[in-house]
Amino acid sequence: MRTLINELAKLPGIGPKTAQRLAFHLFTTPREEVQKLATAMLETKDQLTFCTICGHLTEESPCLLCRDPGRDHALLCVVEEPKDVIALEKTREFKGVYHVLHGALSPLEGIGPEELTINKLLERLQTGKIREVILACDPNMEGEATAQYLARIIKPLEVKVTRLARGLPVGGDLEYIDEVTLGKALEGRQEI
Amino acid sequence: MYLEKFKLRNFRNYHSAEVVLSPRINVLYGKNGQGKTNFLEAVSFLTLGCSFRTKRDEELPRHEENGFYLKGEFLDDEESLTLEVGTDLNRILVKINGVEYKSKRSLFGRVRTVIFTPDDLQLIKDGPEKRREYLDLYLAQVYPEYRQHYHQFYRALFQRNSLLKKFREGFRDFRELEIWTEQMIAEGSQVIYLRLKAIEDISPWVNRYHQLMSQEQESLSINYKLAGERVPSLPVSTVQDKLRTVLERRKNEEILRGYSLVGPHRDDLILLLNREWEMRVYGSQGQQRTAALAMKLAMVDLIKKTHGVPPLLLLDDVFSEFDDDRKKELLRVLTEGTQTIISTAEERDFLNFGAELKSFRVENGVIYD
Ligand SMILES: Nc1ncnc2c1ncn2[C@@H]1O[C@H](COP(=O)(O)OP(=O)(O)O)[C@@H](O)[C@H]1O
Ligand SMILES: [Mg+2]
Ligand SMILES: [Zn+2]
Repeated sequence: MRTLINELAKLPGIGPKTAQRLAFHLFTTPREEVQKLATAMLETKDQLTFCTICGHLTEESPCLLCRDPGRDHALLCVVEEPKDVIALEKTREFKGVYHVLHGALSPLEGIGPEELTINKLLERLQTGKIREVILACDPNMEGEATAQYLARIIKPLEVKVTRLARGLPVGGDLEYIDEVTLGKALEGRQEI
Repeated sequence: MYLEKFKLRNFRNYHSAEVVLSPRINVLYGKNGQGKTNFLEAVSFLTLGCSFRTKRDEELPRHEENGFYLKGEFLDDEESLTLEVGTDLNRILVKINGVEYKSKRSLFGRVRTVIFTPDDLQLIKDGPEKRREYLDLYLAQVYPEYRQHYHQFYRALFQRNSLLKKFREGFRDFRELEIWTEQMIAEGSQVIYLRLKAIEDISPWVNRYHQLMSQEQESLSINYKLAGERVPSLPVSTVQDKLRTVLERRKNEEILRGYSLVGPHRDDLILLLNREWEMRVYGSQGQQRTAALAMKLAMVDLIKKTHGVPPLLLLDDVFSEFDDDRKKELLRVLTEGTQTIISTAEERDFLNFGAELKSFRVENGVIYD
């Protein structure tokens, strides 16, 4: 039991108390239900990988989004995390493709440009097939810094660079912004 | 807003106490070491979210106890406000009008408070840190946006310092440094801009109070030093340009040392006697004390001017060094139309305030009406 509690408490957003509650809950759950959960966890782990093109989570690489001929492959939206892709997809406003950075610049946490998928992004841009890059980093200081950094290295490549419209709640995460607001910010994007 | 009812449990030498205060002047009197300052400390913890004596909250619970609890009920013509804070070992719980908050930071700024203590002398005597603390504590109460910019500035500063440390180890991406420098300038310039604006406003008051108290012809001027240079009030864009210029000039030195040398976290105030003599170096003990008091009094005026209502005043044993006439005059000016809680060893100092005054005797952690 102690091992289970310790492992659960390592998950994001779960403190020691919640971990204990979950552990007791699992203890009283029928075996087959627990089995389902454990299998689902392992399968997800084994079957999901990062898309080799955009960095999104997928069962098969390239991901469905990158393979979809109906999408605009010249319009590229740069986000911090896979969950931001999901948030933007929910808006149904965006018809282009994505690039997931897997983080934002934060020297305090040891995250510099090398730790993000910036080189891969540059490779994609150098093919000359991209018309516009939308920077959709989180509306906080690290997101802002990351966007500024990217703008500076992308601009010399003569690709149009835009940002989500201002007016998103500051300090937050993209994933917590409601679909309508996010859709509007996308529509009202401005060139930098 | 005035504090009507105040309750303490297990705070410093208090076991449990509850008092009903006067909306005007409240005097706590008693021998030394009885709990007068502790009471003021408790009130300030509730309105500012921190003690004015210590940064270590674990000192505050009564010996042998794991936590303390404070509750204040505030009133004015239109509304009431209840602030509560309770701690238990490392945990803290704040309630505002019954709604829970996780951080003591949410207490700050709901009831503006100015504290006077004998330690105010450090404002003049000590290093720049005390003077920056003075600016930060009060300007965050004067301008709501100050706190936001202040925290954001520190976030940018810590990021930039981490990067400068990496630079020292040989890793160098100057483009990345530029980005964090710009973030630091954007927030830092807002902090400095507000400081300059405040200094411009308070400087005539600082001078007037100093003259009133010194009863002499000497003048006292207060100036802001941005990166070592005395500057007047400036627009934000000019502050940005100045910061950018100095940061560029000192970049190599910063890389060598591995931390940021320019910004509001390094600035200072300078107080001059008769426009010439630095108070810190040339002032007598008495002059320095008066100057520090003048700086605090001017903040009270700035809060009054900006918000239309005076702050809650906590005066810890500050007037004992003044003679009776000056004490009376000062108290009259200061306490006009506001709630004040004063601690003193000498109750008789305040007897001539009559009906507006409520006094409490404090003895060994117990308060007697
Ligand atoms: N955490 C604590 N628990 C119990 N007593 C404390 C604590 N901290 C300080 N004290 C006591 O409080 C007294 C000082 O109270 P204070 O308010 O500073 O006195 P004064 O009335 O002179 O202003 C001292 O007797 C000190 O031992
Ligand atoms: Mg005392
Ligand atoms: Zn993909």
